[in-house]
Amino acid sequence: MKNNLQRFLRNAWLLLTEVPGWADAPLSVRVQRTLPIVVPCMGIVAVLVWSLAWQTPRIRAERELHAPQIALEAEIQSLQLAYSEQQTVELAEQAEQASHLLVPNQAELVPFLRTLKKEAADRGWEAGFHPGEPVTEGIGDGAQISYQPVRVKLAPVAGHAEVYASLLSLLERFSTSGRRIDLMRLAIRADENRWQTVEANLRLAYPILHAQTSQ
Amino acid sequence: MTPAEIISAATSPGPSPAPALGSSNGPLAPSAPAGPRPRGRRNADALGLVWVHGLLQVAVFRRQAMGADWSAPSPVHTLAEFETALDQAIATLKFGGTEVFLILEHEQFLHQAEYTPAFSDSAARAYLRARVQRHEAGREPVLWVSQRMASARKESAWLLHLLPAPFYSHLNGLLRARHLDLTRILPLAVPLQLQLEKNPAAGDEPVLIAAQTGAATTVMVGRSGHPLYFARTMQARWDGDSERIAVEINRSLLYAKQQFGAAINRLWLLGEGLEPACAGVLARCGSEKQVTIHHTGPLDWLQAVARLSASHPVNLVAGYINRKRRLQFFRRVAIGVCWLGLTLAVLDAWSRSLSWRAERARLLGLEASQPALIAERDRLVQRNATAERQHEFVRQAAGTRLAPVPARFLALIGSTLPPELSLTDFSAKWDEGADGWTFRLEGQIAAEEESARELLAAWQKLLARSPLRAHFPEGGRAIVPVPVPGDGISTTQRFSIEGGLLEK
Repeated sequence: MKNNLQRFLRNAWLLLTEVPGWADAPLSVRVQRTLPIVVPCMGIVAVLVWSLAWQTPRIRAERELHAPQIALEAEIQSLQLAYSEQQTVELAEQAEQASHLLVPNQAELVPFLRTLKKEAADRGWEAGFHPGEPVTEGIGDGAQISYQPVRVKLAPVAGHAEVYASLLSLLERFSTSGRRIDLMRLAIRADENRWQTVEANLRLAYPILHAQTSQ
Repeated sequence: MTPAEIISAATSPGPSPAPALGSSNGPLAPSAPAGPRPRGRRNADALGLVWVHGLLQVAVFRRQAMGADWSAPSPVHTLAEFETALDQAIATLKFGGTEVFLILEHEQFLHQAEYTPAFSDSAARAYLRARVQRHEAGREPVLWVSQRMASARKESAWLLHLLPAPFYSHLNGLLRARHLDLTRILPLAVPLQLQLEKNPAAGDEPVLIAAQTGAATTVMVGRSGHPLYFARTMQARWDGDSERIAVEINRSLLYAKQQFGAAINRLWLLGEGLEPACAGVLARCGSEKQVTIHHTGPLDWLQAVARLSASHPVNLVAGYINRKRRLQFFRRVAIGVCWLGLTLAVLDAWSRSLSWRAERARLLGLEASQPALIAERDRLVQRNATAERQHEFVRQAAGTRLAPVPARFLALIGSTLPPELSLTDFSAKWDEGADGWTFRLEGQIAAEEESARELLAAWQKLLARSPLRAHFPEGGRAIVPVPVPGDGISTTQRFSIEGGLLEK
């Protein structure tokens, strides 16, 4: 192993320093002969030393010094990536449109049901709306709307000829009223002669207070 | 050890000009050159030497074209005489290159015919190597190279050129001491054979060449495009022993005829002033022979071999040349790699420095604008929170809205109900647990039981294919006949259907 290493080093030395036609060239000439290889090697070492011992520590120190600003910049970039400005504008518009689907607040519920009752009467139906207890969807602060269940009893006025068609028209009116009315249940009982009862369960939505203030 | 290895070992470059090969004589220290030799200028020039039996002629070649030449004024037999003559030649010719090639015939340079069984070339070389090793046993090591010869027998014939390694080492040492690099050592047979090859007058017939080579005369028999028949050297000159030479030529003709069956009619005499010898040769060899005098000499031989590659098969130092070229190649590659590495390292450092400058400017900018960044961060946090809330609000307000499925289902029932069926109960509701719509229908069918089942099945199929895609679980349908007083068959059936709707 040692001999191999010595042989390798000797061959490398000869390879580097051999002067063509001058086997016994003096050391100074041989050293000159190595310059084309030694100079770039020393240059590489110098560049590496400068890079590793001077530049890299300096860069690292500067980066550590400015770490808070770098983190702040990264946080801003992350926040910018979450939503674009265009998206926020669109979301605001969508939220505005969605808010129109809801009954503005619980106080507006009775007038709105009164409107529905009138709509039913216009179609030949006697309607009774009975609001229940509000239900909040979601958990904790995540819920932004509440549901108001309403039980509806409908009875056709006496002598109403187009009961089926008018009921369909009334139900259609519920879904196209501009407000969100979820028809949760529809039950109809009839006998051979007439419709006995029509019951429906509706669900109206209105924003809860903290969500409303954020709009 | 292969011939190449022997040569390589004998010519191994190093601080000492002596080869690493052991020698009984030991390496002779080269004498110092007569004076400083111009180096570096005209470095591509080559120095050609012919040293044959005391005759030394030197010529300078530039790109294979012969320039000035020089002849030793007195015979050169020993290496000491060679050294002196070489210095004179270099000084006279002002040679500035390093490459030297040599046509050598010397009493120490042996040529020995060998016969090997009809092996492949590699096996024959192994056989010859063994013969050379036997030759070296008890003697000094040799540089050797083999040259194929024509053979009239089943065996292959080879001509071994054997040069004692100490002689070579001394010779090479002399040259190296003068910064000269010996790239080719060729026996005289090579230029003579080249002369035979290039002269169209040779035709396809065997030719005997008798060349004046210093104090000797070399006779060679060959044929253009074929291996050498044989060659021999006699210590005689035309100007003194023409009669003896003529006798030897005639003996060579007879030998060629006897050994190779070659009737030689053409005789070439190489040299100057040989016209008087023609008559003697014709008298000895027969007047029908065609004797031609070629006024060619050592300089023509140098000119012929100057064009040869260093890797010529009969070059004794081809191995050394190959090794030298390999070393030069590796050295150039190493230099190229080192400079390329330095260039890349500098470029990389420069590029990193530039990018760091830009980054540093950016960092300073960040430092200066930190309050603005904090304000921007706060604004974005608030903006995103608002957007998040709005997104969730939109999802809750509009995304969870239920479709008016009960109304649509009622309309579907009204439009598809068969006339035999009448409903008494209709119910459709949203099932939070199942996250879907369920329905229940009850009524009567004015038909016998079997017909009622068929009617009901057909209606169910219709509902299943509808846009609401009703589905009916097992046991979700029941048909019961309405009781009739007495034993009469009921024509009215009560039914109930339960199921779900895939529409949301």
